Amino acid sequence: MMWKSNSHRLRWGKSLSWQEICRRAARDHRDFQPLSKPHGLSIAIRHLDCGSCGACELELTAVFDAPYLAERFGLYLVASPREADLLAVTGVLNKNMFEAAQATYQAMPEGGGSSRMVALIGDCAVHGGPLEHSPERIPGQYDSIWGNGESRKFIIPGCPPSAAFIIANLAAQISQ
Amino acid sequence: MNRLAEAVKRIRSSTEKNGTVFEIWRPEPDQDFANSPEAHFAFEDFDVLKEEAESLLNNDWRLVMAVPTNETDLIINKKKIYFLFTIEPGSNVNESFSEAQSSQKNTVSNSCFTGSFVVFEWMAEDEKLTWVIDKLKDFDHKRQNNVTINSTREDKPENYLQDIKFLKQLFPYFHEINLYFNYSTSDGKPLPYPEFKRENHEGEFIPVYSRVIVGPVHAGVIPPGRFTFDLVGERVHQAAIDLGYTHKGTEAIFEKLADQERPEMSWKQGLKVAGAVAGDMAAAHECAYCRAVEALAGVYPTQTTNWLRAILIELERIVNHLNDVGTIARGVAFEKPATHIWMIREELRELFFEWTGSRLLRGCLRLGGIGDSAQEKLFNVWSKGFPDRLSEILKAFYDPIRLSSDPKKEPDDLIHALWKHPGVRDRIKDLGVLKRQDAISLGAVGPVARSAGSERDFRKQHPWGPYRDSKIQDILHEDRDEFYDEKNGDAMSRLAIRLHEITISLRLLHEWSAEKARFTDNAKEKQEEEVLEGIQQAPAYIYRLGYCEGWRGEVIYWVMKGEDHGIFRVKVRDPSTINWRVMEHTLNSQSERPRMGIACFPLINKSFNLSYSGNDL
Repeated sequence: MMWKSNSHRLRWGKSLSWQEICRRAARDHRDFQPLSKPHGLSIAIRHLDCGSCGACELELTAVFDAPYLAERFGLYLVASPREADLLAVTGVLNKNMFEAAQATYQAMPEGGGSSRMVALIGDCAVHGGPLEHSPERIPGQYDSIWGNGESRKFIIPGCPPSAAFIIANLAAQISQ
Repeated sequence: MNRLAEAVKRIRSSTEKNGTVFEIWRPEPDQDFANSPEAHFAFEDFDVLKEEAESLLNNDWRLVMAVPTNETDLIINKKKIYFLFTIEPGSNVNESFSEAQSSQKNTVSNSCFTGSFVVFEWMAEDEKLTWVIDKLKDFDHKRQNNVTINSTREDKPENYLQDIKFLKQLFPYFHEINLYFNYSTSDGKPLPYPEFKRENHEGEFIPVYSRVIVGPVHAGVIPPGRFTFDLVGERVHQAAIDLGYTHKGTEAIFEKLADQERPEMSWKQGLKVAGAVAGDMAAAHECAYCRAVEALAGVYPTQTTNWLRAILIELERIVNHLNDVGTIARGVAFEKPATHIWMIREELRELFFEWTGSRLLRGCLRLGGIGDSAQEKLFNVWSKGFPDRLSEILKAFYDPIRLSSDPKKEPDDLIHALWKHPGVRDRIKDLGVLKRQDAISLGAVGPVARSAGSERDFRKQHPWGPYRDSKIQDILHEDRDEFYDEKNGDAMSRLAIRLHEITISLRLLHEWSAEKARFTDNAKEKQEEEVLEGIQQAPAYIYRLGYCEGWRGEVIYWVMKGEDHGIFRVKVRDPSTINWRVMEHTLNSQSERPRMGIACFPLINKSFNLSYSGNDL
């Protein structure tokens, strides 16, 4: 072995506890109320970028990687919208992505008591954020794709929302 | 030697009869040369401009950006295009730098050491304009160079995506570059994979292609983009990258900020938009924007501000290069270092949050200085020397102290675990080779260009603030390193350059934090209001450049002031704009390499790691 692993602090077991994630989430957003660890969640998440700057992606990548490892709390990433329960969108919905976003949403399964869930991640997805004045933005943004009331909608503000806040807030909203 | 003076002399002598307008702008000499000097020429005749541009390009200058604007549209119904050239690094860069350091005077000829720009201004007629715009669209790689110039186009995504496909002839370089080779089956050469050929009815063997189209929505947490691969068996015969799916009209957003009661406040709000051009390079974008606006206002930040900005940029470089090293490690299925790197990355981001209030070093700057909350904490931390917590976090990855201690001792850290692993080396060696001459002629920038043997680095060619220190320049010009023995442009050297630049950045931070002179500077911090006042005093339609070397390469902002003291035009040049096409060329030039299968694409993509948002704008 080239690399003597014993000589290092092994950090595999050092992923963050739920309390620590809640603490960080509360630190990043004052409105956030810490809650107990979610049980019984199993949410397959599909990510869709419709015109973000890349910052939300950085945080969303961190959500599913060490040390956050959101799979421990029942949030896991899938590769296709056809097997996804929740569509996590980032960025302002621009004209070039409109069709693709529509197709992605339509590809998600529906019926049988389950409804499609969508999460708007970041200020851009929620209300435009710093890209509010974008001429390429679709008016009404994502509501033009899924309308009002058809699907369960979760809102995670922040520019960008921190990884801890995404996990804690999403879990809190879903288990409500 | 002074190459700007040479170029100016030559252009002046050859264009004197053509009514060329000429002007040199240079920053205030006592302001630590916030920007490099610029020579501006205005041309009426396009043929003259083209001739001069060619002569510049032949004399080791390169075109970095082209800016179409319409400020003259209202008066004389003509558009303008600005071409910005900069010096290609030569072999004598270091000498000329020290020459200039030793003889700093206020004359133009002495103040232009290595870094300077030439700006060509061209008042365009309509027929020629259409032709040039078509070519420029390729260079800029997005739909609207200017909202107004191109407003006749039908607003459909399909049109756009057809438009941004690469043209065969690249206007900016005046070279014939064959990006695509013709693969029509009638006259194409037979490929050395007989099993993927079939016999047609005339008895000829023709290759069987299969086409794989990926995107725009990818199977992961990635921004959208469409990749088309034509395969012969597993081998990639031809690849095309279609981008534009994250096109948000960022440059138009800047212009829209001006519709307010106080138009000058649009400069302040523009900073937020600049931070959102490429979210992972926010510090560099904000810094370049601030520097452009400050040059416009003629209000230059203090030494301390420059120093803190440079620290932010280097910190951003460290964390993002680390991230890239991790993704490459994961790309070669070496999960252990990757996970360790995610841990370190997270700790760094938490540390940045503590220092600046932003995990991604975003929104730390303000016009004229550093944001108030970040300023105090950053200054407190960094004025006490290299922070212990930073070296503690990075110790597992790379031990900076080893630089000065026993060099013979076998290093035992993550960097070496990754770098010396035979499996990793075998996978990324000779993968996705970008040749040096291709990198140079296609205008590659940043680590991508440097890994192919180019010396393009705005920290060396256009140093500002703390980068102008001769010690810092010595460190930057040192290119001998244990990770940096070969610069042949493959994925391994792109990994090597990242490891190398992390160590360089750490050494720069060490130098800066050790230098006490930086903290005794008692100059008063420049306030935002001073900058905004300075802008109001500047004449209308004046333009200035701001730039810095971000972790992906040079970030350049071109800002122009309107009549109402607000933003008239902001042009952004993100390094990804150019490097995406370099990557496509790399994918298409691997035909002799049998190892270039479609499974190599993700690894090559990771080794480039370009921004979608910065390209599409």
